Amino acid sequence: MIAIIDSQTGNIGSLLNALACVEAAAEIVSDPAALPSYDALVLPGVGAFDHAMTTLRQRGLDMGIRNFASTGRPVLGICLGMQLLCTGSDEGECVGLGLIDARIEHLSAMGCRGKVPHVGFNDIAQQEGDSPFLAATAGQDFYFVHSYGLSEVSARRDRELQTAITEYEGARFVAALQRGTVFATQFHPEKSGEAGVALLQQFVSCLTHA
Amino acid sequence: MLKKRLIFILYYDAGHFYLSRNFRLQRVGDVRWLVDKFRFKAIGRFIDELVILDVTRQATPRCAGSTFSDSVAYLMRQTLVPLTMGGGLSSMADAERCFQLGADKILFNSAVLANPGVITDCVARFGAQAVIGALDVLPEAGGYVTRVGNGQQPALGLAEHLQRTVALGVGEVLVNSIERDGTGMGFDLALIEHCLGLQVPLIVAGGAGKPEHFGQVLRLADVQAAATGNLFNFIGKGFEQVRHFLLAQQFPVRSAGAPRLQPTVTSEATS
Repeated sequence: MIAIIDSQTGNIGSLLNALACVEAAAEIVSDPAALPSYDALVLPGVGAFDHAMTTLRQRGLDMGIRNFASTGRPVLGICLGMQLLCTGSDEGECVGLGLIDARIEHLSAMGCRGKVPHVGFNDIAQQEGDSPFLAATAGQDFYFVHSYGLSEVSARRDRELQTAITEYEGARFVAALQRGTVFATQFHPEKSGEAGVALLQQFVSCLTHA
Repeated sequence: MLKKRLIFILYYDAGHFYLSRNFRLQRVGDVRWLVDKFRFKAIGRFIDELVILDVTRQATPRCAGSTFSDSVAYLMRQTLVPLTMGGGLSSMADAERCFQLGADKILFNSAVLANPGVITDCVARFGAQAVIGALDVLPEAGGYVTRVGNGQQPALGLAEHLQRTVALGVGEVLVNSIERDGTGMGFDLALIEHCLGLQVPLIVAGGAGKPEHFGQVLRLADVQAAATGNLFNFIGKGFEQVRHFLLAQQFPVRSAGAPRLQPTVTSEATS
């Protein structure tokens, strides 16, 4: 059973629908005490970094998610959820969950010359490593809607971090990542049609092989 | 490369969806009619985003009530597409309700002038990427002016309205032509010329009637998305034909997945 963290501002319905497409049972969870009984965790998110982080902290979910991840069970962060897994963001003051040792920056700080936010379907410019999860992104378009991200330069500092990179008007940033059992996407797989469903299938297959 | 977007706008009021022509509304069917006529199970291959606008003229809360939430939930069970909700939103409570119902983004229209503080609050709370500012525009005296309140009340000159909208920190701007709305005559290219150079993505709406119309606006570097709420022109395989046209013309749009374009079927008669 997969726990979807109740982000209280979100398109959780689409995530449930998308997970149902791959026959993965999932429930919305807002109580950190309930987390240990789940097999995997998904952290979705729409919104500003500080508001989301503060909401997690008020309910003890920050510790709950960190403890869950420390047991080696799979965690998937989506969009703002991916950013929350990092150490912090230029969008706010709050400290992030720190499961990924990198900081989130504004797209313009990565050299983006185009309009921000970056909205719409974009492809994967580069993907390396042997992660089947990341391999499932190759050649596909995914739906992005964000102003901040994890730059390729920052991600490269962590050698254990495997990435799929997307390019937008001069900025190169992480579209999807895997580090051990921590997975994340800057795009919304649950809004990306069949390509997104195929990616979620890869995440779910980690559970059955665990 | 970032792809250009094709957006489907739905007008909703009290359990039914509406055809809009020059902002006059005609009731066409409920959510089951919509899902059936537009083949919603496959529509996610052909449109990039869905917008649902609650166009009720009553002073009731927008995007509210069990019929609205049931309709949205039913639609979103058919397809996995990004969803924007709007129409008369004027408070944080309205915005929160939209996100709880599954919106990825919310759209503000009259609030840009009547209640700008709500928009800046929403940008701070949900992020700029989740907030669209929309303008309804009419040609007047050789230029363009805007209207608010479902196109009923005169507002500002276009340039000032655009400037005020962007200054609120919204993540995207949608410009709709009242004159072209629902006519199928094509987008107002002169209007769009007046909207170029924005620092945020621009969505244009009003006038789409056939695939070529989308090409005419999506070829502009400064236009990121083209939207239509023209229910009858795009019924059945309409969006599939638009996407295949754009792909054949080598526009940067997302491929349609399984490329099966079957012979055109005449639109089914509707009530």
